[in-house]
Amino acid sequence: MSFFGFNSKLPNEGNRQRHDHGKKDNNNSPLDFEDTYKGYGEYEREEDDYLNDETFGDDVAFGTDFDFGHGSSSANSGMISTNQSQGQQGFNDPVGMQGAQAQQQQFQMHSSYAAAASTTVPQQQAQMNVTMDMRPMESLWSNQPDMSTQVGQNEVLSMEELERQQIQMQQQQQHPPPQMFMPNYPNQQPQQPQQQFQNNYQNNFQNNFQNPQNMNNQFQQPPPPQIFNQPPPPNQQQTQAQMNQAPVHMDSPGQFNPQHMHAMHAVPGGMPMPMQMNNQISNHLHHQQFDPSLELKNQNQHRQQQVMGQNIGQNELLENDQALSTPSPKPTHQVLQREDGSIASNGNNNQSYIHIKDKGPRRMSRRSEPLSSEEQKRLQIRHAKVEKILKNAGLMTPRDKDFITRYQLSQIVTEDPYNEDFYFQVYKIIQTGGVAGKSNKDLIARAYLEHSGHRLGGRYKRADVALQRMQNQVEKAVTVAKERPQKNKDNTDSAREGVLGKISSSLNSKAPRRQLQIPSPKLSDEEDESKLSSHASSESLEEVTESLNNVGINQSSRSRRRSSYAFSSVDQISVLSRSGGRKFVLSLIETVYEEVLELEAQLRSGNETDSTGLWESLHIGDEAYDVSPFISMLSFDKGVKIMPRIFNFLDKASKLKLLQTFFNELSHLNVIIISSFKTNPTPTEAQLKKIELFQGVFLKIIVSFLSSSADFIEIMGLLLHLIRNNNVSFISTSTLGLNLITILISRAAIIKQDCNRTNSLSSPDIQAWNEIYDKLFISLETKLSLVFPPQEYRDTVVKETSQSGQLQQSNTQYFDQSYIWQFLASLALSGKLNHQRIIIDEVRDEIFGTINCAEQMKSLPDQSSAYRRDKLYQDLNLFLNVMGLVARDGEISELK
Amino acid sequence: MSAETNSVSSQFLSNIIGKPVNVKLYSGMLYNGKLESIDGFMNIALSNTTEHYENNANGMLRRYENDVFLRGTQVMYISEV
Amino acid sequence: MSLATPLDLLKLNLDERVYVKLRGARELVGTLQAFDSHCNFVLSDAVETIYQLIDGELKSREKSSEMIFVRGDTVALITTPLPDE
Repeated sequence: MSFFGFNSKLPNEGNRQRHDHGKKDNNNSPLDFEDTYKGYGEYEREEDDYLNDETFGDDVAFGTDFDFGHGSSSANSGMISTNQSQGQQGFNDPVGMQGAQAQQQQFQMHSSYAAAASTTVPQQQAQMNVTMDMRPMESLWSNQPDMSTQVGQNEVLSMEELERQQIQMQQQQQHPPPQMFMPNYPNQQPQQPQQQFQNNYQNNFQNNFQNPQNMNNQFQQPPPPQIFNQPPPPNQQQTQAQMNQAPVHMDSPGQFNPQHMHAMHAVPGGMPMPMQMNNQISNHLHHQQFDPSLELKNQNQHRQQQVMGQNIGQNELLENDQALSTPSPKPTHQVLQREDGSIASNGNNNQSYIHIKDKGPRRMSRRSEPLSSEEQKRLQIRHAKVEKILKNAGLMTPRDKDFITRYQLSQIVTEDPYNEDFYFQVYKIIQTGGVAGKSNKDLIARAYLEHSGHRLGGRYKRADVALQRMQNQVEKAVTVAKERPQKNKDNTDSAREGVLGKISSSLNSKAPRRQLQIPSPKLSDEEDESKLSSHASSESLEEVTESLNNVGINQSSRSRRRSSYAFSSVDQISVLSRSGGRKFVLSLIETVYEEVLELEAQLRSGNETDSTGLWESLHIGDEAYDVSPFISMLSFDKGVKIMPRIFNFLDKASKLKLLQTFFNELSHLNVIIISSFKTNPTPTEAQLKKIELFQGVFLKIIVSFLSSSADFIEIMGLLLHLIRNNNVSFISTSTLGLNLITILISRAAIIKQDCNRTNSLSSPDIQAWNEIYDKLFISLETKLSLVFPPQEYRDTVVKETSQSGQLQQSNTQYFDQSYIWQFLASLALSGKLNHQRIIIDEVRDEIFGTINCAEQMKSLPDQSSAYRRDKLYQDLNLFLNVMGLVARDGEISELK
Repeated sequence: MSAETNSVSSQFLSNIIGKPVNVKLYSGMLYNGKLESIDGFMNIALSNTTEHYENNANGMLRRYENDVFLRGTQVMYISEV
Repeated sequence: MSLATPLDLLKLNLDERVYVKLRGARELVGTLQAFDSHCNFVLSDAVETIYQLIDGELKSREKSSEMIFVRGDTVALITTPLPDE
């Protein structure tokens, strides 16, 4: 059923109609042709437009003297003309028109409408000139940037036209448009009216809700226009309801819905029977089902322009919006026809209707300049932008927005702005603004708007509304913040609690939540135990520190030395257990660190440093344990690492005492144990690292102390402590131990040589030294060859060091024996000739072994072998040179 | 009321310091050892610790030579043996 | 130097090798560089051992890292490693 005349003939009719119509206008128009009906005259007049008269009436009285700017007169003229044009038909039909008739009539009408609609494009061009000043705002409301198609043809369209086209486009996207005579869609098939209706309905909704403008306007105009933008009723019942509401709608200035108007006219008239009303309603429905593009008629142009014209003032946008949201342009023939009927008996209503329309201020400007391509481009960009903006518009009601704003603003007033950076921006303004005042709030609001990307705010007056609202919000937020209890100052979490809901205090990340308060435990028992466990051997230890001359090993120190044998193992725990346990030693180290840090802090602040606390924490003289806790501290890397810093704060006597303790208990030293090939034949990488650390840190301290501040007697004393309380032959199997002995005797030898030159050394000193040296030599005699580690040990060390690649030993290709030759050299240097002979006898095998090894290197061509050979000779000659010998090319000769 | 409960439980915990205890973790591991110390976060330090799964009857999985630190958040219960 | 709390015990292990048992059948052995009251750890030269039951067979794989930060909430137990670890 093609009620609406969408059959295939129509396109032709449309064209004819358009041409025909164009001619008519052309003929009668007193207006500037170029301004109004540009292009119309180019079409030929169509002859067989048999519906033309039916549509427009025989004696078409609507003139071309459109009064675009003045609603009342044009409305009158428009009404009259349309009434006239429809008069015949309207009066021909009985007032209580039956459905079939209505349909028939509609068919006719719509075919003519459709034909008329085809003329819209040229007409719109004309209209555009009239409504030019609305154009920029139009872009805000359109959802389609496709106006480019028209623009591309350099046709200038009015805003209204653009809107209409956009609605068309929307509908075309959703459903093919009903008009087949639209130039852009010549082959479209007719649509089901119901679908069209739905489309309109949807569009209405979209337009209503996609328009943020509505919201702004709401605040300017007490009666919200949205009420009047109600979508067309989906059924008759709704229409009925609308009709009942119609009087209310009447109150709104600048708002009118022709359908509602019509209903109003009809109802007070009392003439239409219920049946008639139904008919009317059905007619309305049909109109509503129309695609708006169909309904843009030349007859109704007055009307539409009036509709436009009345809004142009302050709320032009609102009106534009309305124009969009009411899909069927209001004054249709049907409506007017009915109005005619009612006017006869109730002209007042008509007048009031006109009066209402007149309320809107009118402003029409005419601009004929076509859009430059640049402008068009801008317009397109705007379209895209606005579309983007409007995509999610309407998701939130103003109340929602208020809520969000309030929440955001509630955070502005904070005690800790730097930690809440977003709001600090705004807070800064509060600060710089000084006293909280109106200007403040304005600034805050402005900053907020800018910050939130509300860029429309600055440019358009609409922003003032938003600004005003924001100011109110700021005012509220500040008031609330000031009233907020100050006790929350230090607890921002709970201050925010009301806004974000309940905040669990366990979220506080500063410290984990303490669940219990536990009284500090009694430690006295343990202390008592440790006191009880202190040995009676402390008495014997006192005898250890005897006079330098007493070289003999007394009974008590013997027992201690025996005990040191007992735990000469790698098992660190057994050693630690004799100095209070691992935990105790570790806690001592922590205390030492605390003391050192404290002293360093004092040093930095320029205060006098008192190292007694540090000295006590070292437990140097602590005789309560088998092994001095200080020695056990050196078992830990961190204990070794802190030593240089400790030495910074100790006086010479303390240092000497510390070193005496160190040499005294050298056998207990973990590093000695792990660096001895006897107790630790297969050192691990970690152990080698530890040894290296000790050499790099603690040996350096000893060397620097010996060379800078220790005199001959003190060095002898240290050596004595070493000899007396340790198994020297065991110490000598340790790389570290051998190095320590070397340091002591070589330093003593150097001092002795210097003193020999100056004769500053007293004979008792020399005698004491000789005695000490004899003791040392005796303890080493017959075991001198044992200072050379076995091949397996060398291999292990080489393997571990080369594997890790992290150790900084001079070379990782072979075992470096230079420390042994250094020891032998210094031993020989301090000894007499018979001492040297004994040494050479004992290590003869090693000397020749080294020479052989070096000679084997000779046969190897590569450079590293040559280097290795040189190194071997170099190390060996360290020792041989002391005795005036030199090893060279496989032979030992006298040093010349 | 809660303060009293708190103090009672705290009292219990401070009283069992130095005594052999069982500590069960949420993972099901049971640790037996001497309670060296305990703090308000229920962090626990044990010495002479042995490790078992669920109960001592399941056999010892491991012995720890040094003090063991058990993290409070993982502790299900602590009980005196 | 007080040893009243378990965390004091941890402090003793600074710069020492520690064994850390983590949730999810993971173990870490490394040098304790730093820790805090949440038991967050920084370990250097660390080796992580991950145990998995694959077809009823307990398998383990190791991951080494020069420096690793361990978040405290995964930590269950801390002690010193066995000599061979």
